[in-house]
Amino acid sequence: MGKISPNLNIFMSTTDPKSNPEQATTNPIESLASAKEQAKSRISKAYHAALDKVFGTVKIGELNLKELPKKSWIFVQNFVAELFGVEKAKEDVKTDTENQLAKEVMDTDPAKLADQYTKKLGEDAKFDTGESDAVKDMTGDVLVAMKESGATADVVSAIGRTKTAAESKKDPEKPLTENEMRAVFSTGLNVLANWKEKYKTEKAMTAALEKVKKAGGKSGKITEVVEYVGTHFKKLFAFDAMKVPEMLGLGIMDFAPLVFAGDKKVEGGVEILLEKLFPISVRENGMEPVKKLFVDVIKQKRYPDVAQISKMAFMLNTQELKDFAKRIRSANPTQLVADAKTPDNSPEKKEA
Amino acid sequence: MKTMTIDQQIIELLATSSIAPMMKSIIEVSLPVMAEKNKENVLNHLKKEQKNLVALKKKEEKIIDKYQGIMKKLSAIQSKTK
Repeated sequence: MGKISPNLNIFMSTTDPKSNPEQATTNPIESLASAKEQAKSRISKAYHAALDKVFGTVKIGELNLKELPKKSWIFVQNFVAELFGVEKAKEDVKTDTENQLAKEVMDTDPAKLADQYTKKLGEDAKFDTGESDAVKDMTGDVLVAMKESGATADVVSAIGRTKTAAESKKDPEKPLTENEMRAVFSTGLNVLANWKEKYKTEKAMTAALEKVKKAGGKSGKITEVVEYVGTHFKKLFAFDAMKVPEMLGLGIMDFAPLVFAGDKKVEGGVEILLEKLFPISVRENGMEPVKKLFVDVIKQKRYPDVAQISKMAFMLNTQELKDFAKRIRSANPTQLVADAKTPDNSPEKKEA
Repeated sequence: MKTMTIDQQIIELLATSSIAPMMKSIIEVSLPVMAEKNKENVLNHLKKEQKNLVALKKKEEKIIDKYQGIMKKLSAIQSKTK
């Protein structure tokens, strides 16, 4: 006995529901097919889990509904519906528990929490955890702002990590390293999931982000967590990603490294950057910032990113960028970095 | 018999909780600085979660049992019509 194939095509009806009103209300095919095509929502996930249970758990061999009396389809539909109810209930239990636990965390002294996260980050990522009253004050402010905006403990954690990573460096104005960014961004997806639940509209999300930014004080580092959330606006709210850097008060070339440093699964982030934002940057600020980004990516040995950049460069139709991209593809990366460090009007370059 | 501390009980329940891994991590990291009342609440929430999940698991098994018979009959019908 084998498992039922999960291929929904086997359920596709050849009967027109309109000619059989009774069947129209009991035909499970459309609802099953529709569930498969729904966007990834919790309800959809629970429905799929229910379908998997029908197919995976009940050993009834190769069941082909097409060959069965139409009246029997109702049983499959009811089976799935009842299991779906259980799966949905499990999701609700999970969500309720998470929300309740988050409240308990948020009820804790923010400064103490920040210290804990600092220590944890220090253990995990081997950062220096230097003392800084300014950090603690700012972290406290941020955490209070988070609490007021109703964000969950995930965001609290993300904020704590960002601040710690930034302030632990001797020079807080230096950009975070890739590892430091990844440490922050590793919480990003959870932050997004929670925030999406909480802030159902773009307006509400924007307002919450503004509060976070404001609480970040003079150091702009707090915006980095916010930016990661921002890069996913498009996915979450069909938001125009072009507005993200502007909304976060960043120049395009401040924003760009964050996209490259973030989770590789950032959907469309790099494409948006290359297709839309780079041309603006080049027009406004010339080639130098883009070149610097190329060089930084090479130094960090993210060659796939370089290949991607160079491919996109040709689409930008900027001759200088095309020439530069050609050199990237043909040149030794080490030499390229050295080359990029040498000013164009230097004697070495002139000689070459 | 050694009585477990609240922290230990929470850690044990977290291991089988359905909450997201990040949330588990946050709770673990926060435990040392949480007030006793908050810890007790966390423990109660986790216990409640376990209770609910056990009940849902039983419900699920009943549903599968209920329909397994029907699905087998359908399979038999199909075999006969072939």
